[in-house]
Order: sequence, then structure tokens, then C-alpha cells
Amino acid sequence: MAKAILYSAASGSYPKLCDDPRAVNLRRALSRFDKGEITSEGLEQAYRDTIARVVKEQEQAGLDIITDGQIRWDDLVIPFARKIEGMEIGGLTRFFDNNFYYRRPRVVSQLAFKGSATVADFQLASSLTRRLVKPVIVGPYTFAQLSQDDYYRDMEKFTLEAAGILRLEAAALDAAGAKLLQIDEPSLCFNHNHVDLVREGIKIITEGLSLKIVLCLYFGSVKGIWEKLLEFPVSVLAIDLVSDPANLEAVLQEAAPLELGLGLVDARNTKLEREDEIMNVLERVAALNKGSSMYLSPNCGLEFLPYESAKKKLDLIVSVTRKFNRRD
Amino acid sequence: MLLTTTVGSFPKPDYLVSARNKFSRGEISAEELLELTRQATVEAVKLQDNIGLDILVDGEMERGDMATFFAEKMKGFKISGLVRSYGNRYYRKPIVIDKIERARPIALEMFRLAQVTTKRPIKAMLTGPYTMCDWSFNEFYPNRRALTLALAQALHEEAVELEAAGAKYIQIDEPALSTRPEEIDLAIEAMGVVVKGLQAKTITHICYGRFDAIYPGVLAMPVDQIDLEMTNNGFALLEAFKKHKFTKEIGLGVIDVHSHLVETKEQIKKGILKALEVLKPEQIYVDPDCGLKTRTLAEAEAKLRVMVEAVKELKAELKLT
Repeated sequence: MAKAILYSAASGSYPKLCDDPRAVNLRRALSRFDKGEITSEGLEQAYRDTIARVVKEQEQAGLDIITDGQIRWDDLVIPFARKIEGMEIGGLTRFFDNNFYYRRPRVVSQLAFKGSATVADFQLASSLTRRLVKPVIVGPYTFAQLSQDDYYRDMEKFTLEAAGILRLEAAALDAAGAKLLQIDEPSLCFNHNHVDLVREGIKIITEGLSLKIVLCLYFGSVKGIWEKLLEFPVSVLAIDLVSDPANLEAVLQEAAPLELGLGLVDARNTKLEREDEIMNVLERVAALNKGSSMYLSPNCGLEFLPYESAKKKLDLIVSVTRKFNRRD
Repeated sequence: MLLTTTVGSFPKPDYLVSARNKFSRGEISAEELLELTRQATVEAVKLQDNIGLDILVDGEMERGDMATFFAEKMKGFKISGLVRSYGNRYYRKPIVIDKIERARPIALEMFRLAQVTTKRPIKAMLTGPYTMCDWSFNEFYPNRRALTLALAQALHEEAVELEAAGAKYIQIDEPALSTRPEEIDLAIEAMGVVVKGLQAKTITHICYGRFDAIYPGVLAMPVDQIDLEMTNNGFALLEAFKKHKFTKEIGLGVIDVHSHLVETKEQIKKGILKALEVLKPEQIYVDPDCGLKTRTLAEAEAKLRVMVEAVKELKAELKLT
């Protein structure tokens, strides 16, 4: 039987700033734009230059699957809320248990798709590299959980409406040439009783599309819903194996009928993992899922780390991936 | 009864902001910056005296980020590159790389300077160990508990020095407490280490998400007073106190520090009267919701004057001394 191939994959966000003083500084550009010192064209160029740099860095690091770094995103929900009719942007709210804050959107009237939030940057990133670019969208359940619903006043209805809108986003990415699509549903880790609703939402988004779907879960536990997750209409389950160590127990319970994304590198702490410890886990998972492709990535977006640390973590992921694929 | 105070930070005067920027670019020396920091501290204390607040603070003129400030002065830390907290806001985070030790005084110098500037008591301000842990990267300790308790020990040593220097009030801020309500026992244990043996009045300031997630558990915090924001939730907290009695002193946050609008005396009096439905006047210390560093100096002063006036009038109306 063919040996399992491991691919190194980005998880989503990438630090927007770097330590090269010659590089375009997005923080400075945004500040200057706010003060009227540069135009919106100037700011747009800063975004494009930053995306180009981030794509190049991931490519040079040797990652198999990269993202656009979510450079234009302030947080996981805002880019989508801004492109949905019927939503207002609210106040800063803590993002799960991180010292990071997002702007909580509020539903004020019937939701409607205004246009794609992700296609432009996906196309820009794809035009700059031959590597596979993976677009990421927020999942409908997480979107509903992180928003304030002052209109439907019905969490399930809101979730399914959001799924309908995100379906249009996914279709736009499909039409734009995306081969892969990651859907982030961290809120499911904290609400296991809604697993069926999440599944329904994912089905609405993906039915009939030829995209390979990655369901990405992070910050919490999946052990209690593992059996159900294995039946989701997705190709890859990407799991955070750092935040809750018990998640690895779930993964090692039985062979999975779908591919696994292993978030084994901590994107919320600068401490560098040991290569042999990661290899050990990979070998155990591979032995169980003989022949199945696997993906090694950070456990969540890299933006929680300072630039220098994010780069070291990516180098580690690529190094381990190469060693794993070369082993006898 | 109904003593007035503030939560800790004051706006930095322009000359100090400019000096701090110059220092970070290497254009002025540490000594030059210190001189200006001391000047700003004296000015902040004199302003508080002039406004008529009962318990004063040094204004935190030397502090930027409340975790990084302590980390820079302790052994065992280095400071990270920039990390985004939201929007276009970035900060540097402490990284624990070695055993944590209090190698030198941290808040002591500015406390001393502030205290000689006034007859009123200066409240010393520390960032709590649970928050320091939560806001740091950890490359040394095996787990959060070990790191938190190591920080608690170091902060305890600073607290002891502050008390020896005359601090009658010591505040230990724990804004991260609400992040993981399930870790409240660790925060309580760590606070116990910080305040052990202290005679000073101890206070903790916590920002909360869902108050019901930490109440009444937070009453087990080994401090005399818990300082809470009230303006954000229309004093809905007081409902929780009706169900379960609030057994400590309370820092009642009556000023919205995130708004430039100056409160009216009536708004403030109304809030205090609501609190008096469930709390005794000797339990209540009146202050703004949080630190004032996001306001301009003029806004901060205006808000504080209204607060002090409102309390003065209310005390007369209620015949409280």
C-alpha cells in the first residue's frame, strides 16, 4: 500500500507586519490613510504589496498549501458582515479566549449577499504563485454565534440564512478557480449539541460544488462529536491538537474515512515545538489511516504570533513534513 | 463613606508622549525621559488634589502596556515583536524565557514620588499574576499554573516593598479574569500569594464579559475591595447582588471612560443611589469604569470634577459624613 503523503498547509491568517524596514508597512499605511496623508489607491497598493510579500514568504518557506494571509481581514467575521445587506458593525468583543478582539456584527434586517468578500484576494494570491492557494471563509454557525441577532431572533434560522449567503461566497470562489475551500467553525467546539445544525449549514454551502472542503475546528474540544464529524460532507477535517490535548485521543480512536488536517504546531505561543514530538504523533496517525493524505499546519491562524515566531513555526512545519515524507 | 478615586491610568501630556516616541527612536536618553515622566507624575497628582479626589494614583506616566511594563522590569522575560490586538492596533507581548524574579523595584519609584507630592493617600497599582500569565507567551514554565504562581511571588515582593514605603491602598488588576471563568480558582490562589501578610487595603479591578460567569465565585478573591465597571450595563450587576449579597467593598465605576461625553451630576447620583439599594455607603468607593488614558486630559478632568461634585452633593443630601 502506498505510504501516506503529508502536505504542509497554512491555517489562515498571517502576521500583517514583518521585520524588514524596507517592506511596505500596512500599519503605517492604514494610519496615514486615516489621517488623509495617502489616498485609498495608496492604501490598496499597500494591501496588494503585503499580500504579495506574504504569498512569497509562504512559498519560499516551502509550504505546499498557502493562503492569502487574510491580510485584509480585521477578524474572522467582519469581511463577510461588510458584504451582507442587513448587518451593522458593532462593538469590540473578545474573540474566544484570546487577547484579541473582533467587531461584533448585528443583524438588523433580512440578510442578503452584496458581493464576494474573498474572491479578489484569492485571485491576487493565485496569480502570484504556482502553489495551491486555499481560500478560507467563516462557517455559518460560528458567524451566527459571534454576531448579535436582533432580527431573526432564532439562532437556527440565522445560521441557515448565513449558510445560504456563504453558499454564494463559495460558489464565487469555485467560479474563480478555487480547488480547495476551508470553512472555519471554532464555535462548534464549544457547543457540541449543535453539531447537526453545523452539518446542515456545511451541506447548504457545499452541495453541488466541485471544491474540496476543509472543515477547520480550533480553540476547543472535538472529542465528544468525533463520530459525527467523520460523517460530515467534507474532504478534510482540520483539527486543533494543541488547545485540547484530548482531541488527539479522538483522532487515534479509529481510522477516519476522510483526510485529516493536524494542527500540531501552536500558533498562540512562541515556544517552538520539538520536531521529534511532532513526528511521533504523525507516525501514530499515519499508522491508523494507512495511505490517506494528511496535512500538517498550525493549530489556528498565525496572527496571534509576532512575525519572527510565525516564520519559525512555518519553517518547522515544512522541515517536519519533508522529514516525514522521506522516512522509510 | 463614598470615597472617590480613580482606577489607575491618566492621559499622558503631549510633551511626555513626544518624549516617549523620541526615546524609542534613540533621540533622547533614558534620564531625560525619566525627568519628564517624573514631571508628568507630579502634575497628575496635583491635578487629582485640585479636583478633590480622596484616594489618588500616580497616573502611570511611565507605563505603556500594563503587562509589558512589569515584564520589562522583571528577570526571566524578553519582549516580543508586534502582535495585533484588533483593527490596526498592535502591542508587544512579554515572553517568559527563564525563571521569573523580581530583580529590582517596579512601581516603587513613581509611588514614592507621587506620595511626597500630596497629603492624600496614593494607591499603588500592580498588574495581577493571572493577567500577566494570560497576556504573555510562555517558553519556560511547564503550565499556566506554574507561571501564574511564579509571577504571584514576584509581585508579592513588590507589594511588600510598596507597603513598607507607605502604601495604604494596593490595587492588583486582573482584567483577564473573565476570559476563562473556569480558571477562577487559580486567580484566587495567585492573588492569595500576592496579598499574603499585607496590612494595606487591597483592591482588584476586573473587566468582565458575562458577570454571572464569575459571580459569586469572585467574592472568594482575597482582597478587601473589587472594582467593577457599571456604566456599560446600566447597573444590571446590582440585580445579581440582590440574588447573592455582595460582601466586600466595591469600586463603583460611574464614569464611561470610552466616551468623550461628560456625565451629568444627576446620572452619577442616580447610579450611586441604585447601588445604595443593595450596598451600604461604607462599602462604596466611587470611581470611573476603568483607566482614563484613552481620554484627553481635558475630558478626564471634566468627568472627574463632575463625579467629585456629584458625590459631595449626594453625601450632603443623604447626610453622610
